[in-house]
Amino acid sequence: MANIAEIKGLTKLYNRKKALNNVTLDLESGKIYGMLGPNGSGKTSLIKILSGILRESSGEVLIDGHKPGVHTKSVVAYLPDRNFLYKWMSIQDAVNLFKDFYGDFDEYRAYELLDFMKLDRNMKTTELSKGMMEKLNLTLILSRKAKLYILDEPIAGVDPVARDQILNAIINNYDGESTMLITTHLVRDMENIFDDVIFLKDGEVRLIGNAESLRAEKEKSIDEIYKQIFGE
Amino acid sequence: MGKYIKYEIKGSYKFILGIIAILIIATTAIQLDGFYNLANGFDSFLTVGIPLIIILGAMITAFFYIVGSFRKELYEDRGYLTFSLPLSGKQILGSKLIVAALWFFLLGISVVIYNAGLAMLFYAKDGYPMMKEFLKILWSKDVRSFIILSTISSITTLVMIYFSIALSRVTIKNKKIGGFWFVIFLAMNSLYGFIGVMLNRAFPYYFDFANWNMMKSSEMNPVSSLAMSGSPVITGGFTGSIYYGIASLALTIIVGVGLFYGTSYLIEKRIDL
Amino acid sequence: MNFNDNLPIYIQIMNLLTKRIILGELKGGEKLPSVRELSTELKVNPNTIQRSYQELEREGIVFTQRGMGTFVSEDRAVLNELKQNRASNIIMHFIQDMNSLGFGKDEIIELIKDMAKEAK
Repeated sequence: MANIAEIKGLTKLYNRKKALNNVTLDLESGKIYGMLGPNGSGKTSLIKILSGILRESSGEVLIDGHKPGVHTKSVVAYLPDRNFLYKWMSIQDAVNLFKDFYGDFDEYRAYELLDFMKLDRNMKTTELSKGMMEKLNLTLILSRKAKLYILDEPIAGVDPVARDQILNAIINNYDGESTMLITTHLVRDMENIFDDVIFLKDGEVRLIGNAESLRAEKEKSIDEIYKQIFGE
Repeated sequence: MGKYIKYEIKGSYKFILGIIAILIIATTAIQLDGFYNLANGFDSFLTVGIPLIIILGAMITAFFYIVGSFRKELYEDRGYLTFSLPLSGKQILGSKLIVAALWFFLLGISVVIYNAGLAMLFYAKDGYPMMKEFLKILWSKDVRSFIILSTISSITTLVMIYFSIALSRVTIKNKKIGGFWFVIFLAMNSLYGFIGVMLNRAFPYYFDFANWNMMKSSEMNPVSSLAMSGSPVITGGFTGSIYYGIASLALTIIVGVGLFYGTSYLIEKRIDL
Repeated sequence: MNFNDNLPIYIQIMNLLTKRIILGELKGGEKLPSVRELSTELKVNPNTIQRSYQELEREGIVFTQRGMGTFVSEDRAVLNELKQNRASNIIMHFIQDMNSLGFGKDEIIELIKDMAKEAK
């Protein structure tokens, strides 16, 4: 199967500290990847480089055959781990913005998802709770028909009902052709939706593989493998 | 790019309209005071001084608001949206400059027109000819060329500020020393001013855009022309024409364009959010 | 649904579905939920569900009709075998547990006979 992203020898330095150290990794089309690791393992740096808002120190990243830039931003749907919408916006304004800038944005899918998430289009983004914000941001991202979805901690800090809605939205909107790269601390809640898992430790890929094969091979859940790797 | 301009305007128009409202109220106070004094013949600091301070304050606030909106893209969460849009650095920066220029223009024009109208109303007797005279001055070749050239120079200054902000963001990651951009800006602006003067001394030719007339600075009447050696602008002669240093004007354009590309490069290729 | 830790998810889903078939919750000839439906219900990757269906199909427990979906086999022999397998599994586990409590083969049979009488 074709690769949507190819990462070769990627290194990111902050002053002298290596946030990413010589990471080589291919992301295949049609798979959901779980990227797992504690804070400071380099997950966010990798995601930001793929999203085009952080520059690598060395190495190469190709997404859809291009270096991160205007083209890749048009095929990557990035959900940051923070509230990135402009403060003056209503939900409707945010939908309009996505419609204006992303050719792959499906407005009707967005309205369906907003209904599913029980979000009112007229609300201001500043009035939303953490869970509602997360649901809105995810709605905007999933309403695109992107080639690569990058979701940074999509269920962090939301209540169990919102968490289920978010997981359902991710599964329902996953079309089998695009690729998803998801990071999470809540391994137990999300591990069943991953095809492949990538364990990052100290900026290096510690273990990568098919989730089911790893479960069979180690006779452990991904959550337990996580604890084993990072609990050392 | 047009789309991004739309969202820039949507994000800031309420604030700018608020500033315009404040300016209009303050200038109305000054005009009322003038009208009242003309009738009664006494003066008051409160009715003129305070509105003047308010006007100054509002202009400075508008300026920092516009400059601050660029800074926010680099330092606040909204940058995650702006810089993940499929737009080049040039498109983002260009949109921001166009909207900033639009707002300064709108601020200036609305205040000038409003006050001219108000004056016409107050002094209705001779208001119409006064207004006509005023508009004639406003639309004179001198004022037009002055507006165009000061727009060019303002845009260069604004780009220099944006460049300083972007450079300080890229070099110093720490948010707390965010004011460092101002140091960069002061240094660059001084250097730019100094080079401008040196160039004008080396190539002392000045141009009057209103009358399409070039002059060497040494040929100007030293008494009536008001300028130091190498000054970028000389107002001079009995005509009151404004002469612009050709060398320093060229420098302004080159620096403006150069820093535009430089800033675009920084926000597109060197940005680390 | 809570998944067991040390088994691949697709095997656990196969077990879940065969249990439903044995219990009669899913009858012979009945349509299974679509991959997407089950995937949403269980919050499991659709590719995993797909794999469970493929394995079940390979074992002859379900069959796929193009464009229609996946159905439970109507073959009584297959369903009986499933039942038998399930029963043997339960009994094997039971015997192991009893052994660990120190009961021998004959004792277990006696105990079952007594219990069965009382239950009547």
